[in-house]
Amino acid sequence: MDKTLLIAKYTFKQLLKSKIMFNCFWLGLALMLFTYITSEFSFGNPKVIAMDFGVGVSSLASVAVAIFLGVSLLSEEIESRTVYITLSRPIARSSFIFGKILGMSLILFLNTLIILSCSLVIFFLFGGEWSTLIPVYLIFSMFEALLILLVVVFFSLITNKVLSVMNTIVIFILGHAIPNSLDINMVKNNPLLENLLKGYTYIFPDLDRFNIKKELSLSFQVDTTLIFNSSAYAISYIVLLMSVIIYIFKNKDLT
Amino acid sequence: MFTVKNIRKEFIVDFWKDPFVALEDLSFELEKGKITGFLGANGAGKTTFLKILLRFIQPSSGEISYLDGVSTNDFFKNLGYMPERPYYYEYLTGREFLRYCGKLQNLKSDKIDKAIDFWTHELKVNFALDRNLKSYSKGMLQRIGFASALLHDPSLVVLDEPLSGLDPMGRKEFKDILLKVNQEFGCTVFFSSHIVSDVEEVSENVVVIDKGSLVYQGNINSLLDQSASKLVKIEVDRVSDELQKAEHQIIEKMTIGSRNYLYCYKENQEKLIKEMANSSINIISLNQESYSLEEVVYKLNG
Ligand SMILES: Nc1ncnc2c1ncn2[C@@H]1O[C@H](COP(=O)(O)OP(=O)(O)OP(=O)(O)O)[C@@H](O)[C@H]1O
Ligand SMILES: [Mg+2]
Repeated sequence: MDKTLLIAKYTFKQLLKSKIMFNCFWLGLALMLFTYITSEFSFGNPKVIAMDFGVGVSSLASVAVAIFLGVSLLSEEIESRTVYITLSRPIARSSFIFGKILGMSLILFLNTLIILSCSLVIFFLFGGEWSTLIPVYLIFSMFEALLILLVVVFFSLITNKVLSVMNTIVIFILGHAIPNSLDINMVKNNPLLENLLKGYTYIFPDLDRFNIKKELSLSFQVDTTLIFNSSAYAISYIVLLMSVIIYIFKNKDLT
Repeated sequence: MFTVKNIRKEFIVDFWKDPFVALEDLSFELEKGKITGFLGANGAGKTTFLKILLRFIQPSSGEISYLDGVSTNDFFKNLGYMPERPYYYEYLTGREFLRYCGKLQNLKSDKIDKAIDFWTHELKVNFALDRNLKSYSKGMLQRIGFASALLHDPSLVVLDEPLSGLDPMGRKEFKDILLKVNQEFGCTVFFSSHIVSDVEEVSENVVVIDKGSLVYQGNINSLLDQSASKLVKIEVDRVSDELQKAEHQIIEKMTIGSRNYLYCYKENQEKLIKEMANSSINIISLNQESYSLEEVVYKLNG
């Protein structure tokens, strides 16, 4: 276990010292500016728009960072042959991959926090009020980003970089679109299609469970059971994907 | 140290094509306490074998067993390994990277710092320890990599092309350190190379592979004795027909630009030089050619 933490620590350190956190600051600033302009120059309640737009883009940004980090997790280690340096020492492969993902998750969390804070600044500027949904939203964005990170790492274990990114983007889009489409009347009137789409959500990640943007921007309440269920769903999915990743990585030829 | 039994490795290149056989029926034994060179041309399968030895990839068949009843875990605890052309984490400093390696070996912090100090002095990279690895030159990375392999006093070091990418001084320093760890610390050394003279200089034993198969294993001197006799390359001011008497002693004449070279076997060298003196041909330089890998392998394959 302490080897896992060691790997996590150094992964975190190495990423922190690379430029990626800088980019995240710039992204945050750009987002702030953009949110401000959009809210100021559009009709409607600027507070709602600031929340809707800013928060939406910030969760998209964390997903993008997750894909970017995840796809290079292994390929970079192998290209730079660092993985060989590490694995030629007394450490289990499972500790290595788990530690890597842990370190990256921490970076991902910081990224999500920074970008979300930037968009919140504008929201508060327009008179938005603190609500308990805000930390929930942070956690949900993090769940989503983490799931995407694991999905892209999973793909990168079995295909090349380009295909991994593309597959992950497809999973991300479908993960939102399919649960949404279940509300469309056309789907509701077609049982076969409905079951097919429902089946999809049983197997692939249902990312719409983490979407509380509407509730947040309209200051609605969210049912605590929903929060609980979504968290349980995320955690089980994460554990499952993590086990699959460890299993594949243990038996993989590292060439 | 370890025994290799009938290792075979296939790579699936194309789904519908036959797999590519990178290693075929490779068997040999690594003697404890000695320096063994691992010779083979580019693509012979050296790196592939080392990856199997270190369990990065699985052999298609065959096995490697570690001697002295050493468990796999102990084997890895006492192993120092350096991959070919290493790059490492760009954004860590040399010191941070070496500490990371030391901690992976379960060393205590003060012991790690001492070992870092010692080996980076030996390898002359101590001046750059607090710079990011990103700014290191190729040779400096090689040195840091070598230090990381020696940090924990391993009983076996495995190095993949440790001498490539180094300047002549660096090559000499690396070879000296190889001899030092072997003689002073009793460390078994196994390193790959495709340059015969490098292996000849430091190692006692050699394992030669060609196209994935073993062609020789054993003492290096007996290999070089039984293979080609040494060549001598003589640069002369002119080549003329007057040398006809010595014609059968000359293996090859070559003119590159305005320079003329003659090649002969070492045992014929004196006769040829006398002949040249008679024809008043001046010798500009005389070099003993070292064995090329092709020669050795060619001779071995008959
Ligand atoms: N992952 C792989 N997939 C397919 N073929 C591979 C793979 N790895 C190595 N090979 C092939 O196996 C052969 C041996 O490669 P290897 O890297 O072991 O050679 P080498 O002896 O280390 O050569 P060099 O001196 O150039 O480092 C080569 O023909 C190479 O193309
Ligand atoms: Mg090689």
